[in-house]
Amino acid sequence: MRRSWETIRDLPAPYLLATAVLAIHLLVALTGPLWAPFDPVKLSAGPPFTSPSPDHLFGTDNFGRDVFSRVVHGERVVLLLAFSASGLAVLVGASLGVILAYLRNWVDESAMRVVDLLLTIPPLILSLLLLSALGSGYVIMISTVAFFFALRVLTVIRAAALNVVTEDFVTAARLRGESAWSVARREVLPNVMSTVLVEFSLRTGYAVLFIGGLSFLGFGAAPPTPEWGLMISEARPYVTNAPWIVLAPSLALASLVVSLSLFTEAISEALGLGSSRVRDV
Amino acid sequence: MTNSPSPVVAVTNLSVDYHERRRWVNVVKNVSFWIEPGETLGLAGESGSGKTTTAYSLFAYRRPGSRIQSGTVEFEGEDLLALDEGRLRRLRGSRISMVPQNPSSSLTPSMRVGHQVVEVLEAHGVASNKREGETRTFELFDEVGLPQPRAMFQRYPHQLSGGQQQRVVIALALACRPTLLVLDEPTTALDVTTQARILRLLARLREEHGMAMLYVTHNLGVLAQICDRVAVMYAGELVETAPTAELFAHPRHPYTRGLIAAVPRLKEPPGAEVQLRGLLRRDELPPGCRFAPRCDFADPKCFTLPQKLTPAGDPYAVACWLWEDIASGRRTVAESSAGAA
Amino acid sequence: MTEALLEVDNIDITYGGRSLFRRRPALPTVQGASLSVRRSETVALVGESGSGKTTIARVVAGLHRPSRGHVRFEGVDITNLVGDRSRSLHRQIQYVFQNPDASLNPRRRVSQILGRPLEHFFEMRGADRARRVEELLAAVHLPPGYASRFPTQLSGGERQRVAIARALAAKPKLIVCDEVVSALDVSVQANILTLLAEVQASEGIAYLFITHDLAVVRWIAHHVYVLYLGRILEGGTPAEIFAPPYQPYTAMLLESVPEPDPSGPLLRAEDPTTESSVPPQPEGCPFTPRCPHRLDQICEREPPPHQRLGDTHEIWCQIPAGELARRQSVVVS
Repeated sequence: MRRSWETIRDLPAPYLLATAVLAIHLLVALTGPLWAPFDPVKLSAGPPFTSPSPDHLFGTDNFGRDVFSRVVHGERVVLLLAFSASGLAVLVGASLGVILAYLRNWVDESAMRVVDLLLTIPPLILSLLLLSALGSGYVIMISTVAFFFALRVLTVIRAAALNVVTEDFVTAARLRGESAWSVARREVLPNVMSTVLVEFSLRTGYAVLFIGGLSFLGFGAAPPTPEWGLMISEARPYVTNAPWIVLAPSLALASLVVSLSLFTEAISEALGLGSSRVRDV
Repeated sequence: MTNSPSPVVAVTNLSVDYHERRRWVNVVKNVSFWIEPGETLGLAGESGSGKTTTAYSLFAYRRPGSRIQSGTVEFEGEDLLALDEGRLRRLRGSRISMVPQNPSSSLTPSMRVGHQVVEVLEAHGVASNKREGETRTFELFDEVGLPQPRAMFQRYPHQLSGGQQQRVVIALALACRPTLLVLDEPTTALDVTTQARILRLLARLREEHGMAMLYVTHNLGVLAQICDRVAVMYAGELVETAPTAELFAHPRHPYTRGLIAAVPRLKEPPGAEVQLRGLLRRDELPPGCRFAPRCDFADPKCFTLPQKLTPAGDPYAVACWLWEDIASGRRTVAESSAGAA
Repeated sequence: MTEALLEVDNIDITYGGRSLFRRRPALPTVQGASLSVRRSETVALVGESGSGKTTIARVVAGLHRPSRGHVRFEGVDITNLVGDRSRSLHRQIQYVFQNPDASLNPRRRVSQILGRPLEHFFEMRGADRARRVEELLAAVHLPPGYASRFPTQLSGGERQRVAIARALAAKPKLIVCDEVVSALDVSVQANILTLLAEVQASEGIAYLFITHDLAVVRWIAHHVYVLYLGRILEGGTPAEIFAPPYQPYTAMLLESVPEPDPSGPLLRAEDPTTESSVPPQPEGCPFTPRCPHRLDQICEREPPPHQRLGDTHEIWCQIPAGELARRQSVVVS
């Protein structure tokens, strides 16, 4: 662990910068609603289409809502949705991946063929189909996103676990007559934990984008929620006259995704897994 | 011995440091040795003794995170440590070459073994075209005792046994007829029967080509078979050098005695009284003799008195100020442990 | 007559076969192997890679099922897989692996590595368990402070001691030692062998000791079996194995030992006669292509006959023992 910290300390500047940006995002998500100047859904916080000024840092939108407050409040929504989706995906994907790698029998082989098949379906299209059929609640959206991400997580964690299950300490546990669950939890999981962490960070970044995309297309958050994707979508008509309404949530989204992606790479390198850029997505 | 024709390689006062936890740690200290044309020098020591680092220094190869603090490595009259990368690259693999411990990781898994040899021949300009390279590769494979060289040429590394892989690696190392072959634990990963055959092969190749060899291993039993001289290394320092026969007949340094006693043998049961105890701990070295904490003959003075390799009757050298007393039996284990208590 | 603790009775082992999506040819790796281990006794199984020695060890441990024959432990048939064995059997047969880097979980502290079997087999927890962990460390001559270390903070020899302590934690009757010293420096090997002998003397544990180096077992084994490509070719006490007549393969193993003696036989010995590229028939003697004494047309076709040379000494070879003795010189004086 100490070595990991030393490695983090010696990381190149972009990684440190990204980590700092990410920390700001997290801080905003945690404390933002306490100090945001306006209620995010309050109409006529100022005159509509006010350009950025000391009163309204990012200006106001078509309903006169304070864009800065909406972005600040939106942070929590965006991160909560993304963390839920990636958390669920990693929980399910990692558990199944470790168990399948340990079993390595016909269950594993059949399951992986099904996973391969599901991975050929473009996630966005099927998500849209599912959401339009089932209605667009948060629970359904998170589950859908988590489902697709879990498939990716599963293949990555299973591959990592396959290198571990052949190790003698796993055989030693089998020879003790330990249950599959106990072996997976005590012997295998701790050795793929760094991959799990990296996956979580990586998938969170993708989830921010994916959920933003769904909201943009009208399948995620419902108005007047200050979700960034939705905000961008709603502000589209005014992009030429009042560009700040689009720019503010767009920049917030972009800086979050980029900092998460660089942070993923930083921890990946610190944990000795190499660059995540070369891995599939 | 120093008046003989100029040695193939002469290492003088070599010191190497490694970067560990943000500071430099010394791993090789003031090591000097030379190898004459056609001679085989054995370098013996436990894990952590610095023997592999010393071997790599013959290539002027600096592992990432290491620095050569001082010393010279004179190879055929040139100081390798002063040469630029381009010159070194031309020397490495042609004039000096290496046989590493693990043959499977030194061969490219996705390339037919024959092509790997041809590639080396072409890179160093030994073969001018593919045809010539192939013919030469068949000869090399035949020379290192690989059956059916033509069939072997087409194989991938995983289709060969460990012994066959090591033969391919030896063929690679010999491809450009080096004057110096460095072998780093080349048989440690192999069965004893395979090890014996590789040793016989090396003995024959040495006879045929007259190259000099540096053979690095933790097993003195292996060095007894093939070396002309042996240098024993402990905690980064040489503690004894002697011609092989003399070293095994009359080991002078207590550490050498321990290493010899540790070799599994058929003839007589290993004597418990000379067994090496404890471990080489680099973080707990005394200012004096580095072996003192594990030495059965050690005297309180040993812990404070640094030991240097000093002549002990030409051509032997030993880094133990008590060696004569120990050799003559004037100093025994019992006496010193009583003295230490 | 002491009853055997472990009996391996005429087993064949086949690897390969098929699974749902893959098909591999079934290859016999062990043929008709029989051996027995008595209580508190060390039995060595010696052979090079591919001899099937580790495969036999895995069958004993229940990691593989033989295609024919039986394995008995204290007279009870245990020819089954580890999942079908009782907890008490898991406890009584322990396994120590070749490479301590791989056999200890790098993410667990020594206290957890040693504590887990105590918890699993004896439901030992808390202070009891901590005390027992300390006792185990003491038994393998490691300081109690090592309990809080991770395996990566130990040297190879120390890790192997922890692996031995983990086996001892189960209070076994038999420990299968699979090449336990071959990944270690020779100086450390000697210490581990001494430790194993010491533990045997105090705990009365039997060892099935797998190795490729006859010299390693010369002074610790009570009985030695020599295995080549899946067939046992010689069995006997060390005194019998290390004196002529040698089974021709045993002679080759002996000549290969690098003794710390520059005048040893290793370089004087000849490499085996040109290996014939024709593999022997499945029932023939597998050593035929490398055998300096082979009888053409016979050895590669017919199974090597069993010759009993004494109460405990047996060899499998076409050439009569007397003839072998006449042809061979003494390798070990």
